[in-house]
Amino acid sequence: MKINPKLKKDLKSFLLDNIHKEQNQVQVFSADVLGVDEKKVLGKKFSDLNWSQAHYQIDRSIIAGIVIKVGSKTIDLSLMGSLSKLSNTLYEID
Amino acid sequence: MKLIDEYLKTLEKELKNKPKISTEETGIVSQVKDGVVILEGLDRVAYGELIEFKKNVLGYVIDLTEDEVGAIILGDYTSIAAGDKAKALGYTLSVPVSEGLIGRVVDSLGLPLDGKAAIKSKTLYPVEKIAAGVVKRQPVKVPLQTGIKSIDALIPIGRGQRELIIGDRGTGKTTIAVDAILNQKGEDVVCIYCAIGQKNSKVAAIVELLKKNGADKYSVVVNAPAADSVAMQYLAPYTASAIGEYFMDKGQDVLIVYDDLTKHAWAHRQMSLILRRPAGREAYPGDVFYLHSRLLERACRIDKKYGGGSITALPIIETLDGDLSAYIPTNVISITDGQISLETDLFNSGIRPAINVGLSVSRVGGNAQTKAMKAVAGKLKLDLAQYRDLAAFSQFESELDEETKKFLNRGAKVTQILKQKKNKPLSLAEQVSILWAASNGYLDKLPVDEIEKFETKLLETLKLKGKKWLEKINKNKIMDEKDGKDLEKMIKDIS
Repeated sequence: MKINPKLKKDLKSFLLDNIHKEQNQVQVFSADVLGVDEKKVLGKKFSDLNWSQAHYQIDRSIIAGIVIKVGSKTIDLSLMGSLSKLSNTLYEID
Repeated sequence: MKLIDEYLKTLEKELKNKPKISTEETGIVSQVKDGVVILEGLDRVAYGELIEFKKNVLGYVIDLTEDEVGAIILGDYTSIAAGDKAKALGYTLSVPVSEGLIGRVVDSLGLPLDGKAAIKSKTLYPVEKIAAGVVKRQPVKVPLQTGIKSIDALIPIGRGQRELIIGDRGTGKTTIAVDAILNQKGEDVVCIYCAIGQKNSKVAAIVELLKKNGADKYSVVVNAPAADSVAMQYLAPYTASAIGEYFMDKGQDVLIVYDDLTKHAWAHRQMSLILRRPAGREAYPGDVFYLHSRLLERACRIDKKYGGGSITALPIIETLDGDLSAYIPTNVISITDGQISLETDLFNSGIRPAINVGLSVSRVGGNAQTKAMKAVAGKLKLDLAQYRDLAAFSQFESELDEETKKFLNRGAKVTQILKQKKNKPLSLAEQVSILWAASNGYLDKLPVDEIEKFETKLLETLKLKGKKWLEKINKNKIMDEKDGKDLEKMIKDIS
């Protein structure tokens, strides 16, 4: 099957645009629903992120706290994260 | 109880620390192939960076494409599944180095394989490192004695040189390299034997041999056997180089044997094909030349101003049917400063080490040869060259003139004297004495099958009566007229 090269190019740039948009979107995972106050605190604390398009999700597996994802960057402020770090530290002490 | 208290204290300390806000680069495993995984995400990862999977399995980034990251897995890749999270660690692969490595057997990550205690170390050396530049280097001038007569006389190796050992399977390549290690006893040279894709049984035998000869007191074995993943086999020579650089930076001389680079090229080829890199000749990827050039370029001799020290490399290449013009052999021949070519025919006809003197060269070692050896080797080379020219006529011996017969006789004797039993390296003075006898015609009248006897006798006499003579030559590395006369006396005593 032959595909029109122009079509291919357009499709590619469209997809790349989409990916770019998606990449800069802030994703917040929390163990429970975040209140308005909490969101405000987050916005203040991480003022360099674009919060207008933020996407909030609930993930019980992190136990408590939040995880913020922007593209491939992750800021882990969850209890699960600290616990796994602790288990790594214990492993290294041994 | 003390242990538990300590544990609790560390835990408390850990918990008291307020959660630090730090960003991490993360990605998700999309494909798992033989020893290689492809990941999505990790947008800001660097080439050569380490990534961590769960259960403390590490990966090493070797491929960055537009939207994917390829990494080789250091360790067990069967525990990794598609969809697993991966985290970039922000630093490149390094190995722990210390004096404690000496006498040990380690894997490509510097972890012990010999079942002994962990290696304590405070320093880490990067596995991949750009070699020292022109300014820091110094020409090769100091000899590295291999203890093998034919090599030290005809193809001398200097400290900081890269000398390739090439030949078919079963021609004694490893034997030459191991003999060179054995001969470094008391020479203040740290030896590293790096086995790539070898049988574990063979490596175990070599470790045993080193131990038996007391060579474990100055050598390190880096082992990535055929059972290891290709990633580990790929990394082994670079790890050996990093360990060598640690000792070199302390001003010591280092000898590294890479056994063998053919299998290293195979490992690299397998990885590259899995990563879908374009294949070239013999299905090797385009960077197979750089693979070996960047490794062997790390062998060098550092100027005294910058701390001195050297790394001598003895890479080994296995050929098929003696074909030196295959892809990998020609590449490595052009990278190195000369080669020692071994041949099956010579090996089978009893000339061991089976060195083809005509095809073997040392491009820089001549400057490093000791004066004592230079004095005897010059004549020896001439004798052998003339012999090679005339060898074809040796069948018509009755029809030849006296002069030609003399050349043929001398050549046969010299060829005979260059034979040497394995794992029996000789000191400089011992070598010089035997070669002096040969090039001055003291063997011409002996029948060929009595030459070995003469050699043992001469060495015994030297050990009994000529101890001072041996010590003097070994120390001064010069042989003057008086030494020659002393030696002549001893030779006449035997015959």
